[in-house]
Amino acid sequence: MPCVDAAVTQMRKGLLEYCVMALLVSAPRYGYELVNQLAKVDGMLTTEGTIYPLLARLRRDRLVATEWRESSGGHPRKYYRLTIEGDQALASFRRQWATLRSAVDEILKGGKP
Amino acid sequence: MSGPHATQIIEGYVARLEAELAGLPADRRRELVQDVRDHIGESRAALEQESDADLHNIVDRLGEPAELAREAREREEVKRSNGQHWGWIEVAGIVLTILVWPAGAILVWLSRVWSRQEKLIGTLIGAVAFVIGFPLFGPLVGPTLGRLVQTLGGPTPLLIPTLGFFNVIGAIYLAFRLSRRETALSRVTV
Repeated sequence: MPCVDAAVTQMRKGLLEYCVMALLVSAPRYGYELVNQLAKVDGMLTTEGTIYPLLARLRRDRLVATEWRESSGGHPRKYYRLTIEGDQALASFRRQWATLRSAVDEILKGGKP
Repeated sequence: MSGPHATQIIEGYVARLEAELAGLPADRRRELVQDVRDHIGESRAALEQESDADLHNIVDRLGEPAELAREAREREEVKRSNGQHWGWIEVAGIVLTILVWPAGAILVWLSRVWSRQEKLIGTLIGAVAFVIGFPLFGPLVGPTLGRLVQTLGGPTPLLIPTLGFFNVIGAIYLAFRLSRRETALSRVTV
């Protein structure tokens, strides 16, 4: 069912942005760390590399900011942190997602034989 | 303790990525390639013993260079149009580019919708009229002020409305870019 697959891929892509932002709420993280966090949840990140164009875009939209920090190993790492705008965008997403999720669940449940 | 073909595997991957990224702005390409290199570096550091198979796994998990490039292009388009619908500044900028060029140009630069490149092109087209002819006058203001300029012994007024035409081209260009943006937005958000 290629049509369903494409729809799910698009959905996942859109949702991934907010998942990344949500992972940055507790602390700033570097790219590789984010990939590992997302990899723990099955089905969220299909190709690890695609997170980098996403992060770059979030930064250009000023939803996240970056900062280089020295790692314990002595090499610099690019850390991403949530900006105030990012925080607001995430808060608004959380509200809408809750509504949307229960709406879809409700309808899917009703359609079950 | 690198894998025997570490350089070959990694540089091969990066080279394919760079080739796929052709067409994207240079700074985007550089950033993505650097991010990918850093990711590979972190992945390798996490290994206890590195083999060629480990390295192949690392680059496989990153994804096909073509897929990364496609993602980068899509994200680039979303970014350009993201939430930046045109409003009164853009409309006033286009209208004033035709009527009173410098005021229009200022508004165009204040807008966050056009890219820097588009602003530059739009401004340069309008600037041709400004620099060559006298004037901050477009076709409407031109004839009036042109007559005034002539009575004061200035350049021939015929030149001025003609050059105002450049402002119209500049305005059409800016409006065209805006409409392209809207199309890109509706395509991406489908």
